[in-house]
Amino acid sequence: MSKTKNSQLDKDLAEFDKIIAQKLEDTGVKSTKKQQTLYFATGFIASHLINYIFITIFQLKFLEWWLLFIFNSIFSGLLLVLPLHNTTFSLRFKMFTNKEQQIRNKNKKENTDGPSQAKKDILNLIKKEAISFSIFYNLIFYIFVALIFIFYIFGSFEPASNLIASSASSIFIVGFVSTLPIKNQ
Amino acid sequence: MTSFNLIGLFLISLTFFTFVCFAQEGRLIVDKDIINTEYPTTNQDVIALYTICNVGEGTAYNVFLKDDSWYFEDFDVLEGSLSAKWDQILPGQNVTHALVLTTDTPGKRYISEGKVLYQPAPFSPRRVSYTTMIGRIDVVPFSSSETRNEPHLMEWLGFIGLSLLFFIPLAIYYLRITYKNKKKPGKKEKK
Repeated sequence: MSKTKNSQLDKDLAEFDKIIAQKLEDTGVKSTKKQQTLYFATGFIASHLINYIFITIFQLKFLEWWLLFIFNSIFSGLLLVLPLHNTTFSLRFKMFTNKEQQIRNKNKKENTDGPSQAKKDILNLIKKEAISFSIFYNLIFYIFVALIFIFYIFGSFEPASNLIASSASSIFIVGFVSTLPIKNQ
Repeated sequence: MTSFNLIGLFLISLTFFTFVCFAQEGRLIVDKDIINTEYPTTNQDVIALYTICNVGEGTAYNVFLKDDSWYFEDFDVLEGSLSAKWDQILPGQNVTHALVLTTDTPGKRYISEGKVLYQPAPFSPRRVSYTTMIGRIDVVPFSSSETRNEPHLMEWLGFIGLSLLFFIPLAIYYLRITYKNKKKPGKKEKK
């Protein structure tokens, strides 16, 4: 009796793992190269707004400090890929969980784990919404936090040190917040 | 008679010696500071103020203040002098000495201490007291200081404009996608 119970439990667990793995794959637990390039490009452009502040307000000459500005932009872009992906995935997973019932009602005969056109459409829309929200929210948050660090926390530092410290700290804060769970909608 | 003279002389000298040894002495502490600005610039007046305070119980005599630290750091004296003299400073009394300086060359400077020589009691040897140090100061060019302290309104407007240019298309795209996502499923089947 116990052997049959254990085998049934193992079967159920294996099926559950399969469902979860499929769900994670559908909601993009691994980001594609296209998405990573998009995140890097948006982070790279947003970090130029920070460079603009240092060139105009802190009078850091571009011709003297061009290397620092380029490194700051490249590293900010690279490091912002992770928090952007985290927020995208969390949102996609949450939205897909909420819409699962809707997909089941549409395709009563088919299994939600299998391929269906309704599921593909919904997943596509969810992906676009999650990516655009993640970029919009994370980059606004990044610039807001960077401005606080630049003018209040590291305001007494030398401008070059201020740039490095505030960029690094704001990316750290954005990354940390992106790992927190999204509240129930 | 001569022995009485000797004893009297001895007693007088003993009294005098006791008086000199245990007389109340003056003790000076000196503060040196720049009072008109925290961030000096070139061609700007820098006002240095020396405050000498007698914290001892006796009068300090023949007080002489001398400070060459400004001279060695390329500062020119506009008003006042780098040395000053007071005959006496009573116990608990403060005296001040101010001078106006300026410099043409920007850069980092190190303003060290000045010296005050005085006699803590009459007929006593001279004692040296040092002023406080101002330490490292950064003299910036006048033009860059002016630009650094401006409100930078045009630059902030430029920043806001660039931010809007970047975020508004994102916001529009996001709102469009959210609207599509919230459409009822029945509407799609009406082909």
